[in-house]
Amino acid sequence: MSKMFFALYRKELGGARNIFLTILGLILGLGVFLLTRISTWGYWQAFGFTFLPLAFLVFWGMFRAFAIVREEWKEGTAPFLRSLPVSGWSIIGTKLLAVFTEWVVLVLATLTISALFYAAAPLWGAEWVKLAELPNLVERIKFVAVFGASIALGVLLGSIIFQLAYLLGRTVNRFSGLVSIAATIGLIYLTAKSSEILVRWLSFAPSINFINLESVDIFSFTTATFLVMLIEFALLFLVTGWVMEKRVES
Amino acid sequence: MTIPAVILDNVVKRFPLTKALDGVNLAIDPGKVVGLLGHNGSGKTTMLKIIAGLRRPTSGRVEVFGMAPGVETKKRVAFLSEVNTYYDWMTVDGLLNFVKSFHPDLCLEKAAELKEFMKLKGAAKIGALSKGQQARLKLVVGLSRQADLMLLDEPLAGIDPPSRAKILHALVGELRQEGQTVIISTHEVKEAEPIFDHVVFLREGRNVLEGDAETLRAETGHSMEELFGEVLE
Repeated sequence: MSKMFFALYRKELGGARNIFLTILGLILGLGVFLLTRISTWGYWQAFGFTFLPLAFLVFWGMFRAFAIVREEWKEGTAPFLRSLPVSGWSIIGTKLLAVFTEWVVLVLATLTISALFYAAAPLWGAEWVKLAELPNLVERIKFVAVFGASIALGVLLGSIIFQLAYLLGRTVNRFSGLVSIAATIGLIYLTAKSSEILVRWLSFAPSINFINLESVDIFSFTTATFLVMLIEFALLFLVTGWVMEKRVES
Repeated sequence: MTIPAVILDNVVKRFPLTKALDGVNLAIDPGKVVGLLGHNGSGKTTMLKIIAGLRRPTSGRVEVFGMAPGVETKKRVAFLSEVNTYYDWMTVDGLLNFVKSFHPDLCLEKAAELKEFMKLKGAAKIGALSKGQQARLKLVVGLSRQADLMLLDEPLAGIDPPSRAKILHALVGELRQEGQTVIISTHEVKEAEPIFDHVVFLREGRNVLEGDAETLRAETGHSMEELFGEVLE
């Protein structure tokens, strides 16, 4: 089974090579462009723009998850994929994992460029503090880790919503596009509503506190939000795999 | 008692504007080469896809080796679609290795022989192959496997006439695994006729005539091609 899962995962990565390299090239290109802008914009403004791809990547990750499923029908490869002796959950799981792998690599590439910019600040005479000398470094790292994990989980949750919505559209023979759009809106609404209820139910879940972070004394992050996203993702994954296995046709 | 390779019991498949299958009953014994004959739109592809587990019947019962179509039956079935369903960016060898990951019954040595027979290069990208080469590739993938049931949807489409007879004879001759059940949908009846043990004539989603090919010939005094014209026109 793991051999089949790995083969599917590699297939997904192989199929995404061109789009992945294009986005990676754009991120690197932006880095080079910003280097040339330092003299006119100033160092800190150019440095700030190195984070710009992160905002784009959040949406790109979710769109990619949708596109990777849609392409199977658009390119006419769905009959072959679905004729393989693997479950719908394996198909959806490998697609999600491949998209997430690409997303993580692209985020890391963006952050590497930002880090290189930061490390090179003295070259442009910018006021600069070594990372190790930043005040409350541990709290900052903790905050970035928790914030990053939440964003990553959010991307996964958005991805599975778009995949499920697309597949629900595929379960009907007519107006599948309209059904997919309606399913997307419905699923986002349902997820938001259930989140509100579940966060209240899980109010006993502990909070993570960040002390002396920038201007605030204590910044709290409730783990209930994180748990709710995990629960919702797990449920939606189960449903999406089932729809892929039992309901769609090709 | 031998379990039939395929059972269709009053199978109906409806689409919004049409009924692709309209109460089909069929039992196919293992080891037979079955010809599924009918014009375009008669329900041949839908029937094969239902057996392969790619489509669900609206009503009726389907069994493949005694099981409902699903992951377990897909291990034993090779479905070769009429159109190219492989990934354009894969190479021929890449595809064979990919399929091997799911079907250990795929023999790479046999695949190498078949590639040579079909004049295909392992390093060639699937998207760069001609329609005829893609049709040959499907056969390479299907015939390299020791699948218990082969479903071939219009396997001769896109293949040049001189090669067809050669490929057909290879299909049921030296390349076919012993005991393998093969269902071939086609409207190229004249060329395929000699290889069929059993034939099913489909018209508007119904099997209007079915039986042992030899018996039908003897009883009616007609060839399959003549019967095709008589029954389906």
